[in-house]
Amino acid sequence: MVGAMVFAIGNTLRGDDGAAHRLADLLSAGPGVDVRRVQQLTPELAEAMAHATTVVFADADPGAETVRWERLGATAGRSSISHSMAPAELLALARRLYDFRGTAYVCHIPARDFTPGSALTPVAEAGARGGAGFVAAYLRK
Amino acid sequence: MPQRILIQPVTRIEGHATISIWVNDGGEVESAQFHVTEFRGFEKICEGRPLHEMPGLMSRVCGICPVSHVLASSKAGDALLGVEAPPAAVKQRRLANYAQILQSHALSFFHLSSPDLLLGMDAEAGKRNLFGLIEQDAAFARRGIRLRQFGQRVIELVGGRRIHPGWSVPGGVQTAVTAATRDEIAAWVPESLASIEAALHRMKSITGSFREEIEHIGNFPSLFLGTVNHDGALEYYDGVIRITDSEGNTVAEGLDPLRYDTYLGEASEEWSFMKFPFYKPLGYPGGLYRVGPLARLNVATSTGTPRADRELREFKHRATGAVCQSFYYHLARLIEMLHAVERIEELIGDPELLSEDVRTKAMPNRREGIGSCEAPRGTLFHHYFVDTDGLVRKANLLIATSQNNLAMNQAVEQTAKHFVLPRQLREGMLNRVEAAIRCYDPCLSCSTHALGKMPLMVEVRNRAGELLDRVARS
Repeated sequence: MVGAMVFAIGNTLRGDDGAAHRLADLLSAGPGVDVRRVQQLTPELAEAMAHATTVVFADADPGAETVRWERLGATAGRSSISHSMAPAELLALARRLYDFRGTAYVCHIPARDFTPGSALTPVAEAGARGGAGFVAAYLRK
Repeated sequence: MPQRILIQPVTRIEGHATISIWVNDGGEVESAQFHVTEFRGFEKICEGRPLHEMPGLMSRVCGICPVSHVLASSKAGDALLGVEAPPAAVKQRRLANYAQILQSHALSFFHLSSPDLLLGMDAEAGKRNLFGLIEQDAAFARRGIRLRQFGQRVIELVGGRRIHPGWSVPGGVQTAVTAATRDEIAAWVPESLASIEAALHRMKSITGSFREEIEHIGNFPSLFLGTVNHDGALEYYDGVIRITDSEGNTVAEGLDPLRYDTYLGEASEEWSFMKFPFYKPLGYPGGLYRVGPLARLNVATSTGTPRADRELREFKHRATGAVCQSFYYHLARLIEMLHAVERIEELIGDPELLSEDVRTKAMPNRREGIGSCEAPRGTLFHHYFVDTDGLVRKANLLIATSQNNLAMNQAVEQTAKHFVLPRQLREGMLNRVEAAIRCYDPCLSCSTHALGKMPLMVEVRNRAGELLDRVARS
């Protein structure tokens, strides 16, 4: 049984897109927290989150000014376009296929530059640090 | 003046494309085209890079079939070093490739095409997706997800990561397989075999509902190209190229994949970023050939594994010559998945897989190297030229999806002419045109790399949208 899961989403070779991976590096999650670094969300991750009580999707967000915390509602449908999924779609899949009953949140990390490279901008670095602190504090509650 | 019906974007495929259906003054479909509208450019990106970096770099070509690019690149690297990878490394590469065939085909069949197959081509568009499939049959959808998960897990265990593994390098691979890895893979096998056989049963049971689609969605004579071993059986990693025609006759036998450019040519058209490969002896566009699951099963005399062989015999009875209906790509995909799991079971039972002798080290000894393998969507070639320091000077990538480009265009035109009634247009008609493309499961991110060869038009407009200048290259 897993208490909480954190999906750190992004590509570490596309600048600030790797901000969530940085958050995962900085996250001092306690026991019972499963932290996974993924480039994108795929359907098979739904099974992995089925037994968690809380799931956090950490992702770089070019529209965020500060770290933003959002409770997620399940949404189906967009995957007619692509093989990858949005957090709300994965949540919907986990609920429908695996009876996931927990709650899910998105931690939006401010991001500015997605050009190739492994360095984060100061905005994303600060966002990853702030996000790591916020997620850790929330999961400790 | 012809009218244009535009399908944009084409859904449930990998990458970005549109379809144009041209309608004449009489209100009938005159022609149709499949336009690939994205560009990746890896042939240019890799220039100047050290050859040892190439497999890791090439794994970034695709998130679905990275293993194929890693393997073709590693094999080209083996050739540049002038070495053979140790047997355990070859077995690891084969294992990862079978896992990728499994996960990629599971994605195509269960996630992308099953909504059409199980819900129907005319089902409500908003329901024709994975969620609609779950409403119809959750257990079936769950099986598909688990199969893809198995393939991804094998790639992760062997290659270090699910997506973009870079463990295979020129001369072999970087790490040995452990007994724990072998045992974890073995535990997945029985469930996977059962799931694929259930899907095969389901697929065969519904073909009767798609008689018109089977006859009119991409059903045309063509050549078929695939890799076989020296017994003529299905082969994905090594072997020779066989080409057959729609009557089932062998057109070319024992072709060396390393001499691909002597028998395969590449043309371009002004309306697509993707190249149009053709069989040189028949010229362009007469040298249309197909690759991928349908082609592989048409050219192979057997699969070499018992369960898949039973299915192959039944499959070949669907036609007197070759099976030409594009719809049967779906069935061929399932048979290949069955074969892949059987091969995975064989490989993990081989003690040599666990050998720690996995890499032969050498400096570059040759200036030109070619690697080929069978990717999920067909035969893949990587061709590199390096300088004396081992830096890549030129690369040519001949990608499976692009080799089906002529066939996909013929399929959309045939489908549009039969199903699309421009004056009584319904969404289900256009979905059948898209379904013609989905048969081929194109991976467009993989297949658009030839910088300078694609057509390009740059228009400069002011804020009011008025055209100020136009530069075109055809």
